[in-house]
Amino acid sequence: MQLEFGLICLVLSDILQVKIMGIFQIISLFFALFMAYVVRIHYYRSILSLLEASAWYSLWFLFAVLAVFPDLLQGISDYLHFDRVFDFLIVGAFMVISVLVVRTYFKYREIKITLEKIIEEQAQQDIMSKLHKRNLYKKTLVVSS
Amino acid sequence: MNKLFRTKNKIAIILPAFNEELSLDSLLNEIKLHFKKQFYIVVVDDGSDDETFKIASKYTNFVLRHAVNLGKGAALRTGCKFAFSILDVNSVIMMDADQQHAVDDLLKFIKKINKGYGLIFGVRSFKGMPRFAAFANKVTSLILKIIYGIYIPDILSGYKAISRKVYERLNWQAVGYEVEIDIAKIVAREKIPFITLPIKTIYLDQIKGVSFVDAVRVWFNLLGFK
Repeated sequence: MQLEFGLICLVLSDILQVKIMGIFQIISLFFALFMAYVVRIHYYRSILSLLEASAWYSLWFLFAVLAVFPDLLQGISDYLHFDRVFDFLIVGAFMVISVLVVRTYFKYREIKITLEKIIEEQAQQDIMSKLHKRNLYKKTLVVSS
Repeated sequence: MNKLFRTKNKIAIILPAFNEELSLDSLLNEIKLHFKKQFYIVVVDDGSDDETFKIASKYTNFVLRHAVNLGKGAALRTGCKFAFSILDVNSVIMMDADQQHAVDDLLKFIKKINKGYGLIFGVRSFKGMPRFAAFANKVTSLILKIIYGIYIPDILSGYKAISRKVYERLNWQAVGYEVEIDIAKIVAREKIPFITLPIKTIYLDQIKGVSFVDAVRVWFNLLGFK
């Protein structure tokens, strides 16, 4: 009885695993298509140049191909001594995400500093023009000198 | 009181203000009433969306405005830059615009500035302080002491006076509330001499003070993380 139950569980989990992988592949495919659509929108809004859009299209095309045929990576995966292609993909994805996070952080810091400078300089310019307009600048300097 | 101002010291009060329409009017009125024209009042409206700018403009010609809210550190930077480079003052007194710093204490600061002190930290008594704020303050001072070997009490109090010479050495980068930590760190690192000055402890708004998240951020900043 226990043996039969174990066998049923094994078969079920096997079927389930195949189904999950299948669904995962479909989701990945749709995700790639959606991202390609996002690239298209950005290209038509002139946010991306033709070259940039082409690069992004290629990336998502590659992503879609690998999602449908993950075995294409089997050779590289074996060469790098990964047990499964999935492990290789996870490590690769983690590396890409890490690079993107670090790059985004540096970019964010750069933009933040630039924005602060602009706002602070603008505040100084505004008050100077206000003081000049009201002829207060000269008065201020006389008072303070 | 007038004897105090018969010195070569030109002083500006820097008031960073973000949505302070409720307190700014009475604060500026009180300053004007007590001190008339003895020093410049520089208000930095840090991107307020209320009447802060309008109210400040009633009392002083020196109202700077940030187009968007940057934070206390940035507002102080803008105010100090203006005061030292355009108004050509010798010292500035940094004060909060939310009336949690007593106007009477300004006199104590001026006395010390006139005695030639370059950096004066206003220090509140922990007695009248909410428990968490007192705890956060003590921990902050302790961390600074452990890392830099210098004990500065009540680092988080924004009431302080800085001379031109000290300002040139400070050059803080923090834009938000971490500015107090940034200044304390530079003071400790550069071994800038300072004195402390007892000031009144006023807590009008319990919610507005240092929250747990602010405290953690401040401690991380103290440890070198931004």
